[in-house]
Amino acid sequence: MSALLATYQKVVRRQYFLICLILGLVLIGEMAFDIVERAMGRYLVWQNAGREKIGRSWEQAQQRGTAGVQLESVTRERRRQALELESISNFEELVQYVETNQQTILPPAQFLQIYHQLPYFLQPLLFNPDSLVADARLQRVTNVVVDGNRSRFNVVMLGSNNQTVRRASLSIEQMNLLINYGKERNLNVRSESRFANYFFSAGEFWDLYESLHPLRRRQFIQEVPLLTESAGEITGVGISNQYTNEFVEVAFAVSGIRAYVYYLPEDYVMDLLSPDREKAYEFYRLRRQQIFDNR
Amino acid sequence: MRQRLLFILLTILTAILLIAGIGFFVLIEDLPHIPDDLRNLVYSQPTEIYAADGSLVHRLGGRTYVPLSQINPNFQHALLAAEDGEFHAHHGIDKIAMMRAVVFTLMGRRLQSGSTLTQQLVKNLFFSFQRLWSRKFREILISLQIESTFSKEQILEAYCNLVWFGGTAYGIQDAAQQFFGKSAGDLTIPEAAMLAGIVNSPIYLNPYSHYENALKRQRLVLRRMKSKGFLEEAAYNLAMADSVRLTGRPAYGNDFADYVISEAEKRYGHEAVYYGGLKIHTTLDPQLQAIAEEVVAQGVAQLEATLDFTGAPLQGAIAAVSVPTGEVRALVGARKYVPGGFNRAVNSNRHVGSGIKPFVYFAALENLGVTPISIVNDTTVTFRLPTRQRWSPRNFDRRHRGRLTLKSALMQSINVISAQLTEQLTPRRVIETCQRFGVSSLDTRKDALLSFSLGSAGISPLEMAAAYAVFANNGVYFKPITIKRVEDLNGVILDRAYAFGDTRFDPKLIYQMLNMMQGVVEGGTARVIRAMGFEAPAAGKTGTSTEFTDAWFTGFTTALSVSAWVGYDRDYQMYTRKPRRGVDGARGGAPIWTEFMKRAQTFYPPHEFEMPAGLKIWYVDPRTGMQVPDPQFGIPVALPDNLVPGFAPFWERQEAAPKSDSTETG
Repeated sequence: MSALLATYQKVVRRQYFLICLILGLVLIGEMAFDIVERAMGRYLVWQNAGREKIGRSWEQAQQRGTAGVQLESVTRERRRQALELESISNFEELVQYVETNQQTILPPAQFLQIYHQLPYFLQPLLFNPDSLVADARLQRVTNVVVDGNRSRFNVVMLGSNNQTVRRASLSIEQMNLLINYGKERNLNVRSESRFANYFFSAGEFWDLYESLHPLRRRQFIQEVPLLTESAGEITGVGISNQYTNEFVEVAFAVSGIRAYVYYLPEDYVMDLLSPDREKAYEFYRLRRQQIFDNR
Repeated sequence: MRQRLLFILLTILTAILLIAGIGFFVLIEDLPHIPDDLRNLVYSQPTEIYAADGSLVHRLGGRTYVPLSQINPNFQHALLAAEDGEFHAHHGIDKIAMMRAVVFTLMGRRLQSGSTLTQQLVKNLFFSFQRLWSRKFREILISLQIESTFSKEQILEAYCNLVWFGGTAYGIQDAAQQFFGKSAGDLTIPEAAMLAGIVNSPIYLNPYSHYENALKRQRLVLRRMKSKGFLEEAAYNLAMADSVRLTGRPAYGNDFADYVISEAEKRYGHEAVYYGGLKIHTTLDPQLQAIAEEVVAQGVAQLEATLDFTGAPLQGAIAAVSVPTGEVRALVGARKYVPGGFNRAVNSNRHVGSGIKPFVYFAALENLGVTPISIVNDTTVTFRLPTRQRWSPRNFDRRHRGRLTLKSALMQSINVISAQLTEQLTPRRVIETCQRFGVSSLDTRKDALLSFSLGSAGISPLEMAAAYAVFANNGVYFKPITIKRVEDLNGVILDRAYAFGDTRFDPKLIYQMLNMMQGVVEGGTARVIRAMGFEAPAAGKTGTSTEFTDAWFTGFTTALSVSAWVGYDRDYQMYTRKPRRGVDGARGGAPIWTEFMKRAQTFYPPHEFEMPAGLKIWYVDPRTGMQVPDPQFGIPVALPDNLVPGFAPFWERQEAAPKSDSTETG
């Protein structure tokens, strides 16, 4: 019995020693070689792939990704706008573009191309052609900024230091005049009251036209392309008794309810009406009256 | 006994291991993923905001990344000496430092950190700054993983590029540039030691605001460098004797930059602005901004010292707009800038009081056919409101002046006349006129009350400055712009804004109004401007809300249009203690405006306002509107060529009064 107890005590003593030895070795190993840290570190590296991308830096990385997407969409939009802008070739397209995209910058050459497409007598509504010649000679304009909405349209010519070289503002009436010039519209010229005093059948109109001075005829041909393009379709011509910004609305009816509308200077219309002195005088008198009323 | 002891020991050990194991597996459940290259997380292109002169105003997020080879070893050593002397010896955690920290913390002594550089890197990369045990354990685990994944050099490189040095200086390259104007590779030992010292507390060790603290910390870092063997005795002595030369203060932003950020966010989205690496070129004039900040701080403090104690800080704001272009040059939205704080220059629509009157009077010139010499009657009037109530507007000084000219009425800021004109025009039409001047915050339904004539509606200083600029611009409105150009990180221009004027008013009518507003400065409610020594041609209008809760002055020269406001955020009244009287526009806004303009005119020299053709200046009696034979007995008025003021009879001319001596403000 005592031998058994002695053996047991020996075993226990040895285990105690062994455990202490192992613990001591582990402690020394840990202090010297960072065994636990390395083991845990290796384990964490091993299971890293399955972990989620969470934490402050990952959130920022995600936001950087979102930023990239947002900016990509802005860049795409700007590229689309630039392409759309490049393709603009007339005033109406420009107004439509500005309405959707607000402030727009055009190279002077493109703006001048649009400007020159306007009938020459309507061009001064924007800028006096002489002033543009002066600007071109001095190479003053580097950009043309266009801005506006349905009620107002602004054009500013900027110089090299972004200083304003020239500025124009169009009212809604003036914009409509430029946009609608030469447009085919739903308009019954014969029944519209403003054309009632000066309505001519096609035959009457051509007679008046033939009586014009050749130089004036050439101007008509230039500013009213309909005369050469679809002269045969004209069924009647109405001259409005109202003025729009110094111009007279002249409607060329091509069917019962369709007409092409032009805005011509007063002298064009007076020349056209001159064979009928009474009508011409009446038109002149009406015009003077309107000028007086406006004042 | 031993057996029992062994059993207990084993049980405790097993329990500890079991708990540690469970804890380990619980904690690793929501550990973050670590990328293969730490640069993926550290590197980020900053969004930069530039002033009109090209100087950097503010940086958002992002940092300039430099490899370890381009970071001066002096800084590396200084950093290790200051933050983690055993960096190369440990595997992510410093067990002894940690145990010491635990013991100290358990003993209730000052909270110890014991964090290694790796742990600090991990905390900065992934975790919040909350002091939680769970966060600390996770931080330790990730540190172990980082140490097992990356070399010591990679860890040090990431740390150097990530750490914050205060302000907008993120990473060693930005810090070296901002504090010493040099690259991270060119830092001297004292400079490196100072920067390494800042890391511990970028605010309290900032050499610009706490130089002594920063210097003390630098000395400590140098001593540690020497004790760790990074410095020889001779180099140490030299470094201790050498002083550091700081360059310009790092950009910390201002109210203008904050406004630009908010505008850019509306246009591109929050993430694009903060993480998109944009370059935003603005219209800011840094010199003017500095003047504005100083003037508002001083002006508000001076005024506050004379006021009744309210317990709340008096606030102030100023907005300065370039007259010829509409470009916003300076914005101050508080007496002391707080990043992201409330910007009263743009976001605070306060009652403008009589500041609205120029728009009322202009609407009258435009629509009622009156002229500056039209005679109006300042007498008791009662209006019947749509609600069937009766309203009798009162003048600022509670007295009536009888018949006088329109210009004189504006100069003396007579409420009754403004109310009469608004009644004739209808409030809606006056609001529409304001809107044509660019004041967009008004609502034609909500604000269309007769009291609008006395400035009961709220408008921001920026809107006021931009709207008044129309008077200086002969009727051309420039939408105020702050952002001139925005580029993405590849330099592609995303947006470009141009100064863009819209002709909205007849220049002749505008000049007549301008002339009337000049009268306010020359002999009206804002005469204090001349008394304070501002002599350049200027025009404007004071504004005081009812009960003295807001005091304004908005005025302009040919170069700048500026609006200054003072008041409390809560509608406390402003009353001076001795003598006890309310603070009006002339005592609140005008002094700030004047100080600002006196200093700003060096950079923005004003000249005479240009009178359009078709107008002529006459000198008239302020009460009768009749010509006076001697200009000193009259006030100048601009009138159309075809309008000739009559001559007063001889006996009246003898009694012609000198210029108004009224001291009332409004």
